[in-house]
Amino acid sequence: MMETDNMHPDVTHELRRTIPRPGRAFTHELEQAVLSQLAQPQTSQKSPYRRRVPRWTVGRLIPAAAALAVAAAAILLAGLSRAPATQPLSQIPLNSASAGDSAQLQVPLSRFDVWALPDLREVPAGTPVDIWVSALATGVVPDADGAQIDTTLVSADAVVAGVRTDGNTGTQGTLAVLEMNAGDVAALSRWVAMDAASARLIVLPAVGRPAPAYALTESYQTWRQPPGQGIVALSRNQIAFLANDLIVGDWVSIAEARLESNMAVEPLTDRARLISIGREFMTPNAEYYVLQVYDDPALANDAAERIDTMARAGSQFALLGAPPESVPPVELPVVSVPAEFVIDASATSAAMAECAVVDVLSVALYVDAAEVDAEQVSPGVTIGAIAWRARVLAAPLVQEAGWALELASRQEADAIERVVRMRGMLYLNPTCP
Amino acid sequence: MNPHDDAQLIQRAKHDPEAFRALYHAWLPRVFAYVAYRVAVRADAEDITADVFMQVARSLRQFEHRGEGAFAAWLFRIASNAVVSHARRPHQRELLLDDLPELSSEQATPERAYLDRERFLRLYRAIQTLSPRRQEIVTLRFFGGLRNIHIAEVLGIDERTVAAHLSRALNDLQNQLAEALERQDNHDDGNR
Repeated sequence: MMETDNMHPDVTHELRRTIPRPGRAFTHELEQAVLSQLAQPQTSQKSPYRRRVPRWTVGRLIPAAAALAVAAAAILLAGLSRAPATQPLSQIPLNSASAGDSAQLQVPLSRFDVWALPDLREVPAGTPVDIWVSALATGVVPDADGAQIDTTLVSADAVVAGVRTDGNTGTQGTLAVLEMNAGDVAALSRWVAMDAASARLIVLPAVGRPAPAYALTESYQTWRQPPGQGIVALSRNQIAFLANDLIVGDWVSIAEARLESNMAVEPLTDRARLISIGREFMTPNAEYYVLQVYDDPALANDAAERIDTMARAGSQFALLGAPPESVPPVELPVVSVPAEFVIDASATSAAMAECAVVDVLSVALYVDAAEVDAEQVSPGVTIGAIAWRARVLAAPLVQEAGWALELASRQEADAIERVVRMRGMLYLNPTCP
Repeated sequence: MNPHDDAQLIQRAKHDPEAFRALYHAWLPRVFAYVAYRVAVRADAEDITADVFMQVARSLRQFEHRGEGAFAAWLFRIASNAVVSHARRPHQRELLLDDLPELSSEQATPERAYLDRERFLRLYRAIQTLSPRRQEIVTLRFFGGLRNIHIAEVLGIDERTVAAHLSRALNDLQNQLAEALERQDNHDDGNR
């Protein structure tokens, strides 16, 4: 049979030039899932990969619920900047924690689904999580794909209290210690008592849920702060109210949200800037917000420190759009760059103690199109300057934190964002004399 | 013959994880590329591709190898069903460049990668204007890497019908791309 490619050189060329490829993380993750599936008895319809579904479901539902709460709160807080003192909010239940009525449950790590994220051994104590159970259902109606997995949310009120090793039994004896309300402990205990092949546990970061009152308060000291800048980072769990659609570079008001008495808020500053939104350390899908306080320069550090101290003490905050009169007339753009996109990030971060001004270079590897199919290719490197004398507002100490750079123009900021979006690499070259 | 459509390898993969791993790595890029061109959104493509390989892992022991191309035809029939099943569900309509899958060409400079994604989107939209059968045939041919005879097997139609559809589909795409480029030129001229 005659093949038709040569009749249409242009369109076939175009098609072959745009072949989608699977990401490496996805390839690896799915490989583990299918091999695990292969090892299961073929009569089973269980699908380890599909157990990840609640992760996406949760990811979609919680922001929606949070957005609803925030929208309500935003309406009520609209007059915040005009309110010099505490202001009653509403009777909206802001925190679902049942303080004082909690209990701990120890669960073998082996009972958690291998696809559970994150690894509980690496989760900081005090991190709020949701606990799901994925059970081989008996009597449930199969879904459209024929799967008979019943996934149930058992606790939306749990906190990781830690991990302990039981004697000398090795990994098998490692226990996750979870704290939650007594009712959820009883429910989860019933699932844990079931046969491991019938019920597996899934732990998911509780994105957007405030930490219950019994949670330990974590501080997120994951960035290096150049001297003289009032920077503070707040975990998403420490923010009770978050204005919709805040993006890096926005000016914000920070207020303390007093949940325990009258649900009131106390304005702290009307002049802070959101300079980075990062992934929370070791807690995928959770976020933290890095803010630079711009109040009177002499007081900025003090204000930032005060907010940080309050955060460590367990305060909750409201993050809202700043009133227009607080926004300075000349606004320089700010971009946030995850450390993974910065070459030699730790060394560069260390250098920031001396110099907080950098030139930004884009570094890209390329392969000659003629070599793509060759067994051995010789990649070339292109380097181009895309921003000059950017001010470093925050430099990360760990890979999970982000850089915050203030640029001289929107064009420079766009160029950096484009490189990050396309997963290119940046080199930050200190330019202090 | 594709070396990974080898009866012995497939037979071993039914029980030997290493053989299955080889099969997986050999076919994942093609399945993903095919699915990604059908749904465009990377996250959806990953979910569907995952469903396909989970189905393969569950059912491989029942698969009977009946000659060259049989495995490819079986695999892409699963993939095609999964795409059709996905299309019945409500999903995102507006496509953003950030939602698109990575492209093989993205080893190049970021600017080039950006342009390639725009090119992908243009092609995806052009393919969407074809009839469902021609969409299937073009994507199975170019991204699944199937020969016409195996496409015919996947779709349960005659090989000559596949060739005819393919030829017309490519003509249509060619015309659409030419029109798109012309529109772009006119737009650029207008801006000068």
